[in-house]
Amino acid sequence: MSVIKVENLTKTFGKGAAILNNLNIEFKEREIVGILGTSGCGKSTLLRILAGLDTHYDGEVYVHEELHKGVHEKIGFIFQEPRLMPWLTVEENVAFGLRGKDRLERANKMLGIVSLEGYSKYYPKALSGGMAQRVAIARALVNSPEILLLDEPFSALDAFTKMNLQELILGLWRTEKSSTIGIITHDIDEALYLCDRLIVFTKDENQPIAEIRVEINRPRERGDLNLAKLKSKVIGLLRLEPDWQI
Amino acid sequence: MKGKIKINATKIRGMILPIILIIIWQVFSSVGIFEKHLLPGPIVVMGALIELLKTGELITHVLATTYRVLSGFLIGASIAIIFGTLTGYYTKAFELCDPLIQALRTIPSLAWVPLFILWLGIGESSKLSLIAVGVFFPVYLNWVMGIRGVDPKYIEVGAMYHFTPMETIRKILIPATLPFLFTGLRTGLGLGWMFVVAAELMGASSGLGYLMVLGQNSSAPELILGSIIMFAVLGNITDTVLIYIEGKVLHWKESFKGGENNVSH
Repeated sequence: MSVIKVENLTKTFGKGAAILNNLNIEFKEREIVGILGTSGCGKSTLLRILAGLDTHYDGEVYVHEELHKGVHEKIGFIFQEPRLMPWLTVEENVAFGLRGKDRLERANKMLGIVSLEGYSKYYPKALSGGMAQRVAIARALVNSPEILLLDEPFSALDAFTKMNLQELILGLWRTEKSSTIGIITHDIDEALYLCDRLIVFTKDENQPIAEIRVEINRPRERGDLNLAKLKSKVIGLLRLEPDWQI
Repeated sequence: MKGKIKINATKIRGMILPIILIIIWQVFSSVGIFEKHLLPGPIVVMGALIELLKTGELITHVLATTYRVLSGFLIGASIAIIFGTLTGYYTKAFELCDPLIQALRTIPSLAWVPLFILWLGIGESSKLSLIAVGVFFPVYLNWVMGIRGVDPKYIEVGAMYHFTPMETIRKILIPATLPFLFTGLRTGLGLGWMFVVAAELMGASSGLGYLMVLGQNSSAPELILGSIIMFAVLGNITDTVLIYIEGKVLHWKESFKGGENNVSH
């Protein structure tokens, strides 16, 4: 069953050329989908449209087979930067969108899941980048969204923290804390390690979107030879060779 | 410990010049270079203040003036905050009201004095109105500028949780704008003290401004100087209180160095 379906999506900024042109994609239940592309290809715009943060587009977005425009309660979003409110403590940040008496209790439970239980009373300024992003993950998950969208969530983090958080996302997916995941990244290794399927924004005008299935069982080895083969395929699709000469 | 000693040394350094000036002032007055009926020495001025303190008059005047400043400040700041929240959040309200407010802002606030007296008489209401007008503009401008300058990234976080406009204002815009508010409040309070002098000079039966007029009419410069000193002391106290509150409220701010609740590991 499709969880998110996009039909004929077209998006233009101002009077310029369309950044997304007649796009059709689908996220299936329990799928981790990676969206890859060079900068400016429209991948962030696509994710913002799926999250409901951008509602100025042509075409249809279906969530659970129902036509939908705008923010959806079943969709959680993790931004590129943690975007924590500096005036709130960690637990208040996680409980930011929650209502009801048990909000802090729920927030603290979630903090336990991202291994930050001792930090509930801290302010964001005292956290490291990785810890802050973990708080942001907790904030997105505390509402138990069925669909989790991530916009280059680990791009600003060091390699070790990044690997750590990738495991966290996989763990959350495995324990069904979030069931379908869409992740934007420009890190091909990350995409291949995490995802079941990659949607690649190519520079080929005839075939702007290409799909790659990653049919390798989890847990995957980061140095897996098959992943390396897929990587060169992705690089080929992205046409990463420089278009300038010295 | 080392830090504390350093701070005290800085404070002492800051006091050297004022103390030297006071000593020169006293010496010149004692010798007779400064004429007593124009500029009495610091001892005479302090004596006059102590005399007023003994009779209880000083307290009455200080309370009257402080009451005016604080009431006018509360009125002006409250209106500025409520009004500024609306124009800051709703772009249409901003486009409608801001040009008018910017135009009104260019009028020197003291120019309102004759009109206020005409409308409200010479009593308390015209005084409070004048102070409130003086306080309104800096608080309003900083508040609106702050709200309109809030990073849209924060608003988007709220949008993900279906925040209503009220929730966005309460949970994101207001806390994010508090640093600007304090800048506005401190400037506003400073202007409040400035305008209370004008308000009391235009006719009052109590207050430090009245004391100054009394000193002028009865050729008692020590009363005028004593009032000036009291204004300086009171202005400083209220500003320090605001700085203290600011430190407590904005302890989460990374750049704020006065916060004591910093957690570090």
